[in-house]
Amino acid sequence: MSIEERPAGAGPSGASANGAPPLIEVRNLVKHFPITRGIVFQKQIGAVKAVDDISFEVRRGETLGIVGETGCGKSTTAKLLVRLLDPTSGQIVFDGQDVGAANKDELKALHREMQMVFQDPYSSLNPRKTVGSIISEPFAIHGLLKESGERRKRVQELMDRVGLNPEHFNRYPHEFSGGQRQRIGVARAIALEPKLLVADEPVSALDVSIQAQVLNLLRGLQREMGLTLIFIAHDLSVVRHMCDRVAVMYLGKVVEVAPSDELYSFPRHPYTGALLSAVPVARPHGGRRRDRQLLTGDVPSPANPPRACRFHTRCPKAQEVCSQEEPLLELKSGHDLAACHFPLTEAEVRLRLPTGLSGTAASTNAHGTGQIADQSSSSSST
Amino acid sequence: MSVGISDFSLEEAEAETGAVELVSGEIAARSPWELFLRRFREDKFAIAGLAFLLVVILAAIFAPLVCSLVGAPGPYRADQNALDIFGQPTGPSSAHLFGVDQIGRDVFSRVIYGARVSLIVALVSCVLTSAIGVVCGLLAGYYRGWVDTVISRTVDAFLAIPYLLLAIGLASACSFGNGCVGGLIKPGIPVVVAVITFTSWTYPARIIRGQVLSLREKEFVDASRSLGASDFRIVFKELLPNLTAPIVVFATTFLPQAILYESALSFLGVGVQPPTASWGQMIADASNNINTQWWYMLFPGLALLFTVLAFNFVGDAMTDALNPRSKRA
Ligand SMILES: Nc1ncnc2c1ncn2[C@@H]1O[C@H](COP(=O)(O)OP(=O)(O)O)[C@@H](O)[C@H]1O
Ligand code: SF4
Ligand SMILES: [Mg+2]
Repeated sequence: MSIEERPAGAGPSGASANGAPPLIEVRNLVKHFPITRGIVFQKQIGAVKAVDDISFEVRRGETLGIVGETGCGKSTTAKLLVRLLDPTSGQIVFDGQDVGAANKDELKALHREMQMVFQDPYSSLNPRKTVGSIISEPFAIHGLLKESGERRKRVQELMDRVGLNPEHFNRYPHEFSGGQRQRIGVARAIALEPKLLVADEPVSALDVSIQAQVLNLLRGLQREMGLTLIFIAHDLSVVRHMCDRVAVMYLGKVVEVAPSDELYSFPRHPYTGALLSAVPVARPHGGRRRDRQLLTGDVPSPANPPRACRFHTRCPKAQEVCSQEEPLLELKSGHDLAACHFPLTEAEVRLRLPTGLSGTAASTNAHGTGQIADQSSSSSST
Repeated sequence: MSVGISDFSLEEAEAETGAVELVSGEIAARSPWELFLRRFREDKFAIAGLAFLLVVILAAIFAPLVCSLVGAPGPYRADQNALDIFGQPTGPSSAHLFGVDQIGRDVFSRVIYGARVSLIVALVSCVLTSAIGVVCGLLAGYYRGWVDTVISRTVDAFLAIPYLLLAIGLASACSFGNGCVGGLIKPGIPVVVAVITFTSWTYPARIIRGQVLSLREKEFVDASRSLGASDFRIVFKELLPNLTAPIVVFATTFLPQAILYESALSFLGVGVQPPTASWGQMIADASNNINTQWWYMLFPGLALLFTVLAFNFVGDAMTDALNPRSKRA
């Protein structure tokens, strides 16, 4: 039996599984950065298609992973979600409210509901402000806890909650390590008790040895506060132990969305397969290296992406039709949505993936990020 | 007048002030201010300059007291008895430490009172120039787009003006009667301040704009915006505190130049108006009879030279202390 014939469990919109409407619905979201020439009279000569027509939804209380190589539009998506960028077109509905139609006051209120943790623990904290004033900034902006003693107490509670010494509220960011700085960023993000937390590669800049601590902090906070979490990463290794569902992006498109288990055990999109191939897996019995399907070639420019399926220039399964007809994001099996004309088969997955179709591997190796970059770079140089 | 510090880099200052010493797991870091002081103190010229400036500032503030202490008659009294039998000024003596000028005024008193003019003009024009330049630079760098276009083209236009000529024109237009701009800019010190500010704000504007262009891309600006902060808050509470280093560097470089600028305008007769004492004006007056009455030129000249030099020593040391990579040999 080929997998395509499996009965589809849920509809493509598996979101309503638990009945409640999703916290966020993203519909046909597009962000193009214009490329201009000329100084006074700027003429647009093209556009970087950073995010190009993506749709997905995030359910209340879940953790959605967004994964893809650097430059595929993850940060742009994150910034669109928290309204740091205006979309070129498309719609974001947050908690039933159309964000694009919000006026200034409504936007300020919306900012209280969604917060972001940034990638770079060094540039995301103002070097000239003390930790205390950084964490209390949300209160200052929204005019909350006006009494300074009250504010300080709350700041110290927050510092304690994220694992910082509350006594250190008078110190400057440069007095902290990367991991501690990221905790400061987390404290600032949860200060207003948002509904949504977007974490943009929160541990990519951190030492592998402390990544787990920050990840556990995020997970703990999510459980405790009932946060909805969007967790962005550039490879699949970190995401696995964090996320309920994962969306894989390639060159501004979402190419696959699936529950984590399904995605890891049976990826359908060849790009996801390639990403998973790169995830190092502990092989206690020293098993031989399988036929890894590593990515070769460079990522095409998002200013001039390949026609139809954007992955066809690097895809091992590409056929004529791939460069002519754009594959739509459709249910391929189980709850797995993928945009591909020739999704991976069970046999291919078994052959290529160290993790493929073996449920037991699901918990191994969550923190192997350091090695992944090495492998993909060595493969592209050969 | 050129301010060659636009290559000043914030990151470098930060990288150095960010030095952290780990002591048994506890983080013990020096504050940026401590590091700054430590480096500043190593510069002996700067310490000497600072001491000299302190003397000048105190003398300027307490000018009447200083004059009466040495028994000098004050800057305005023209004492016929101080001239010799040919009606020529007399040189340094116990009654007149620095001699007297053509109409018998005490040069020592005028040098001391001249310090007032120099310092006031330098301070006020430095504050105004920095304020206007910093605000324009902040707006241009933060908003970019048409705001930047308007401000940057205006700066370009100002840089194309032959500003010594403009200064002379502006100063002479404003130096008579009630002044210009409806009496807003009165003859004397206000004119000098206006001219200096008008022709100098472009330097800090350009420096700050460049810094803001890179600063605004930092994630802490995004973080602030995603919390719902207003543009005003971001510009003045997030960006501005990060610009203290370039602003201090500009200001300390600019102060001595403003003093020279004032002297030049007064020398040309379009600055501070008589009988107010100004070093530049005294030098101009003295240039007619430099051969015989050397004291009249020498003392205001030395005052000018040493004050500017002291400002430069202090300014250089501050630049170095803030920007560790710019090491002088
Ligand atoms: N402000 C911007 N102006 C122009 N291009 C941008 C801007 N921000 C991002 N891009 C481009 O959009 C693409 C996606 O960037 P980004 O969302 O940061 O990717 P990721 O976070 O996945 O690495 C990249 O090619 C990047 O160069
Ligand atoms: S559509 Fe074709 S090129 Fe694109 S991923 Fe699928 S097989 Fe590869
Ligand atoms: Mg990114």
